[in-house]
Amino acid sequence: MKLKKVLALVLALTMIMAFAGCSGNTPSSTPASTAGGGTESKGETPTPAGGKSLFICPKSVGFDYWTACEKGVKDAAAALGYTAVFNGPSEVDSAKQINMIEDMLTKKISGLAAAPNDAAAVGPVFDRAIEQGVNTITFDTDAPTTNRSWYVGPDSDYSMGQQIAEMIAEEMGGEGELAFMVASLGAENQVAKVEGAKAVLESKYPKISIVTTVVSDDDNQKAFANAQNLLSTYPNLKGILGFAGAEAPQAAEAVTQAIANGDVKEGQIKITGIGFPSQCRPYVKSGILKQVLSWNPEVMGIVTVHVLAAMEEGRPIDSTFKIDGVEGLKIEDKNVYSGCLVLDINNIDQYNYS
Amino acid sequence: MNKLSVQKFLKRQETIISVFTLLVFFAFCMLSQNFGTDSNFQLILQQVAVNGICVVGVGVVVILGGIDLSAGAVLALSGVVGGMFIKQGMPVLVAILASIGIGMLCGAFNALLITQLSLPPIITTLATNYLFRGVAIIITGGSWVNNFPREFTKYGTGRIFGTSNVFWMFLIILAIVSYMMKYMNIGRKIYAVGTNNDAADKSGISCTKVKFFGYTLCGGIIGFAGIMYAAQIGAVASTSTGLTLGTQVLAAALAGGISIAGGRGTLFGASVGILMIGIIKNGLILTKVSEFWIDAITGAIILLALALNVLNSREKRREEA
Repeated sequence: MKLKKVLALVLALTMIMAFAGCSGNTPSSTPASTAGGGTESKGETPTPAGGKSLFICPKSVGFDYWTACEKGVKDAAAALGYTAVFNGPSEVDSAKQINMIEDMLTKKISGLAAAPNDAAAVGPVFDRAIEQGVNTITFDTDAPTTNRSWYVGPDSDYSMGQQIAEMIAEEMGGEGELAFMVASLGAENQVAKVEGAKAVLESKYPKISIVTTVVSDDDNQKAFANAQNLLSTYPNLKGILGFAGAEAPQAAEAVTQAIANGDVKEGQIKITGIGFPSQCRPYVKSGILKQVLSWNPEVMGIVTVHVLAAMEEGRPIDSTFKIDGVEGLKIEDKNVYSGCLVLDINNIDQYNYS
Repeated sequence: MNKLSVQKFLKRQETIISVFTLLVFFAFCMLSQNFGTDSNFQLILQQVAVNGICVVGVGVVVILGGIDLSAGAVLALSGVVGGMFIKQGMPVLVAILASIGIGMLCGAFNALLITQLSLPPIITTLATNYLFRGVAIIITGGSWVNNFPREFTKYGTGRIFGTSNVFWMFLIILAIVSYMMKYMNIGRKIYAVGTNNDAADKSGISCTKVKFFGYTLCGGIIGFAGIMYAAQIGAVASTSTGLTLGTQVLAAALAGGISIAGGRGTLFGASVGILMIGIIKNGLILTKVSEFWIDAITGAIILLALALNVLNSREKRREEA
């Protein structure tokens, strides 16, 4: 009995250590993988205190979305003559992220860009950075209540809502029953997108009626079942618009299966919305999804570095602010938008993030 | 005598939940023309199938006097591992066995902590829920496992006699495990341990072994559900698959008459419970209820079913006393 207890403890410990070991490896492997890329990445950067080093802190590392973003950051930093450290917590964790930012503040950085895991909690650490003279901005996710100078993102949620509404309206030929699929009823990014879409549909496409909104809580199974239930409820349904990443591909899966079962005619239901290449690829290839609205995290990374560099060098960020190779740059208020991207059969294979 | 047995039958928890589910079903039939159709009925059966398989596993653990809050993470982890096997080009059978194996490992790990370190099951599985999901996120890098070949997804999306394959699998698993629980030695031991752990121990049952068996079986069943999830839904997301499964399955088991204290209830009742939740979720969308009300109404109906159950069992206990 006693031996068994010891055995259990040892097993539990090894599992925990294996777990800790794995998660510990994730951040350290990120700089290692880019070390070949030519730019120095971590810790004792050889940069003089002249203030040419930037710290870019994503929500977490290890996800291919952030890996793509990191590539943009590194390339842009190398081109502009900056050193960029791209590192974040191994899991989406606000406290760890703030600790990492605090650590980096002791290392004489000149610029900080963070994608906060908790928009309210980063306020104090941002204030400390700004006191030290560090240019501080947010990217990917904003923290509007803090004193950050700029927010870099793909586009405003409202505008993205307008764009996906235009896309579905065009596919539906400007008329018919349309259902909304959202991840959450409360999240600001969903609410603003829905408002944008509604505004476009109501003013420009009066013949499209929005029959309902279903909520998935970001769960594939629920999004899938929601789409099936929509097909059952609205026999005349003509379009489905997905406002978060899981919605459009799961709706496409539901429609694919409904076509196979003979419940729905091919081409009867048009689907589009926000989507990511690796999740939408099979359905874009099969033609169930004609197009989805996405954005390239790599471009967002490039723009982030350019904004920090402009601040460091005292260049204005206004209509004169241009970046070679980045189209669709928009500056509104304190936001720099790096631009969206429509994925379709012709370009989806060029992208691989999710 | 006849009257007495009829009364006894009417007071069974399974009868109550079944009648309640039928009432809910007919209510939706009246509220929506599209609800009562054959194709929608088949849809509901397909939608509850994966969660139904899970409730069989979790039901065994709850009857055992335990609890498994890690079910959702086990589903995600086994689905991810099985899905990756498929993507590597492994035969479907190998991937299914791998998923079941991963599920059993998770279950055995829970059992190890619960029996050897005497940790309360609720705390253990709350913690391992994070652990298992964390492992799933690490091995996938957080992205989806999807884009499966048709040779694999046909098992999840196909139908036999018009009904989803996965629902038939659920019925078969339910029948086998129910038989085990009622007629086999180990099943009776599970009830005994759940009713009174100490008494079972003193009467010569090895509670540790029985618990190990129960949790490992539960894990294996959920592992199987995980690979069927992949085949049916076409994608497993390590971060979000099964996030609400643990609580949903537990609610179904309790509404279906399994006692949270263990030892009472049947897997059939729990399965009717999951069917009821499936009917509510489908029906509320088909009756075009405002999206803001759906969660509240779902909660209220489940609460009603739970309350009926508790009141009924209290009355039964009073009669027995």
